[in-house]
Amino acid sequence: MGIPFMPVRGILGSDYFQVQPHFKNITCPFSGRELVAVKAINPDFTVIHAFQADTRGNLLIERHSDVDLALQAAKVSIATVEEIVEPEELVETAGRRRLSWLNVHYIVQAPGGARPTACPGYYQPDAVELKRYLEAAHDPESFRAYLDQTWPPAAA
Amino acid sequence: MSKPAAALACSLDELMITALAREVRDDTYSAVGTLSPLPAAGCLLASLTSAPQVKMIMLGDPEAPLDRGSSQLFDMAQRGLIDLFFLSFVQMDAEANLNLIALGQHDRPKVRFPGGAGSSMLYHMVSRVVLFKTSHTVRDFVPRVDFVTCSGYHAPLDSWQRPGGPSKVVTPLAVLRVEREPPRIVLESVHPGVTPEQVQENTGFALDIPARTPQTPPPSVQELEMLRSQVLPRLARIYPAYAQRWRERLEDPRA
Repeated sequence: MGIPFMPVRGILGSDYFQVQPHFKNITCPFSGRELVAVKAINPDFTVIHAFQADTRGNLLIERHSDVDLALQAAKVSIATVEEIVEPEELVETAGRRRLSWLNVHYIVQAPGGARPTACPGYYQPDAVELKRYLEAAHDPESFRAYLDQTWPPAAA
Repeated sequence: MSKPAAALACSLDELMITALAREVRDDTYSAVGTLSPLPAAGCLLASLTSAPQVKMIMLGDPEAPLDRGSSQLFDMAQRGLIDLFFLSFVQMDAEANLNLIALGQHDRPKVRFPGGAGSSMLYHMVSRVVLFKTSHTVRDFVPRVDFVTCSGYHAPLDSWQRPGGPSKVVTPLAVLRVEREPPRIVLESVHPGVTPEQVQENTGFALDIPARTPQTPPPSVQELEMLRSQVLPRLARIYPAYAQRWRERLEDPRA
């Protein structure tokens, strides 16, 4: 949207104000009432995973999702997708909605890109792999080893 | 699934679901967040019994009346439209503050949790926040939370910034009621087989305990039958793993 913050009601009294420099108390210039200004997040990159993209760059995403906000906020937005289809094959369903290419800069064909979490209609969450990930993520060293094992570094 | 309360025809979860269902008012917007099978089941039960016109917004439900994600719920809450939201927590304290962030110091946590998401806003803007917790110990109910994610009594009621707030807490031992005037947390009812003393022993701050504490009303025969035959299959679409454990317990109550 290009606005620097969003005014929000509520939150007052929370310790967020001690640790979160993105929350500030402000006064509404119209009503004089108290509000909390929550600073905009403008990521350099947003990466999301979608079901499909068509050859024009439109996406099919999970309906109950706000990823369009994250795509719109980023300087560069990237969508990985299970498959790329022709425009007439990109069809909305009860659980999936179409998103225009307007805020999508790059599309990467990456089947399985949401693993080990789920991609409804394509694959279930992988509980064994998630457990392995959680254990590895306890410290940087074991996590590095996990990454190297899962995606072996390319030969120089 | 938790063990059944002593001498009760229903399981403890079924008792808690029923207690949560009794908080749902007809013809209101009532919302359930993610990872909340007990209130989701409670909302479904209420929609089949006392609140047939309730407008349920259950995050994670494929049939939720949403075109987008939780942003729609947050926008409605900002407008003051949500009557009821169910929320859980890591710690709750004597001032009705909630911690959903971390145990220990914020910058050097012993345990870090996923976080508050919109809860610190919802805790102010939803008319009634009904809390639920699947354990009730002095580690859950503490004198002072390690981090105030959601502010309790410290943020006063005010039609603009704080039209709503916490109202009840449903736990495996009891139902607590959060009161403002004067600020106190009252033991509203104890579950069958639980004494007020046991609830106090497992709570890290002083509860207001009335001279006679009633028992939490268990589900009626009809409610229990509805829970198992209609709520369970519907819940399975949102929480398949939880519904599976519920089914297994019905087949083998000792499981």
